[in-house]
Amino acid sequence: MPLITTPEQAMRLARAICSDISLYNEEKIVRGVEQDTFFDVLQEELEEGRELYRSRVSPELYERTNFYERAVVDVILRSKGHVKSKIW
Amino acid sequence: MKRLTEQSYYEILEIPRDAAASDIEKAYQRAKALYGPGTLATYTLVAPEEAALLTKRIEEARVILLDPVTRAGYDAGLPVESLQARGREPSSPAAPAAAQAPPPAGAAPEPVPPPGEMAPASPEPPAAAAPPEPSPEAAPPPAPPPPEAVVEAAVRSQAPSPVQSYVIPDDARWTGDLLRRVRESRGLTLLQVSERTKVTRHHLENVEADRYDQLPAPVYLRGIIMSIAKELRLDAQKVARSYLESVAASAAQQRGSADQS
Repeated sequence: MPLITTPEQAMRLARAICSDISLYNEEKIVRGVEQDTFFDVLQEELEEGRELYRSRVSPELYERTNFYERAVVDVILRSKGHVKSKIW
Repeated sequence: MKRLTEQSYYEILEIPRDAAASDIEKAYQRAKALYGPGTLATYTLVAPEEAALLTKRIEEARVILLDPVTRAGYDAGLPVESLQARGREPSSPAAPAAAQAPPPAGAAPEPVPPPGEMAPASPEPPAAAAPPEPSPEAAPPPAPPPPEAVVEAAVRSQAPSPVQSYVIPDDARWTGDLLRRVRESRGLTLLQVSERTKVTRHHLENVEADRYDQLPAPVYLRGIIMSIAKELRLDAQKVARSYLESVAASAAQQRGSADQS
């Protein structure tokens, strides 16, 4: 499979991956936000997602952009903005 | 909800028994647009073989019902209960591999065993799942076997055989084989799990056969395993972690052997 070289496609992939993580880990995400342990409790899932993203995007694009990190915030975290937490 | 193979052509097209030819044609076009090859519904919700069966049934429905002669013969072969029920409970072909019929009102609910302990599968389906025998005087004359009979028999042959109950140790290593045994102990078929979890049967088969190289990326596989585990009333996190460890170990082993060669 050819590597992704366009920012639009990379961004879409990152958001799709994060959407999947969000879908299957609702409880963990809410708990992570509430207790400010988001990146600890979701370490495995986020790393798996990052690994897939890295494997599908060209190294040059991966190095110069932060689409995956932005997707984590925009897709996973922002959707839990209603959860009470000291992190907001 | 009925299985796809158990639905009549009227139910497949979601039309009443006395539908006119023009209504049948419209319903056929609608069904084809909704569930035909390459449509969103079949692409995302239905396994390829189910989609093919669904398409075949829709085409059959059109051919049979638009011909007055074949339609009359088909109508004569429909069970009385099916004819009476039509219209009261529309059945959508969107769920081709539907689960078993729900228990009748008033029936005692099935007790849920505690996590880790599998309940024995019922050796026979509940009585409500079998269509009632029409009374002899109301029964229509015997009709030629419908074309779906062979398919239906093939689907029935996939039903799991009942197994004895067993207890899963806390430190069990979750493999595809263990997941399959748990599923069978719940009395669930692959089609039923696929229908409920929205995971394609193709993926379920690969999971149960431990075909790691044919499974999706771990980030997606984790969600799939968690869905299956939840459906089987297991600890989803634990099962997913254990299964993914096996996947990772297999991948590492393959990398090691590739490096050596």
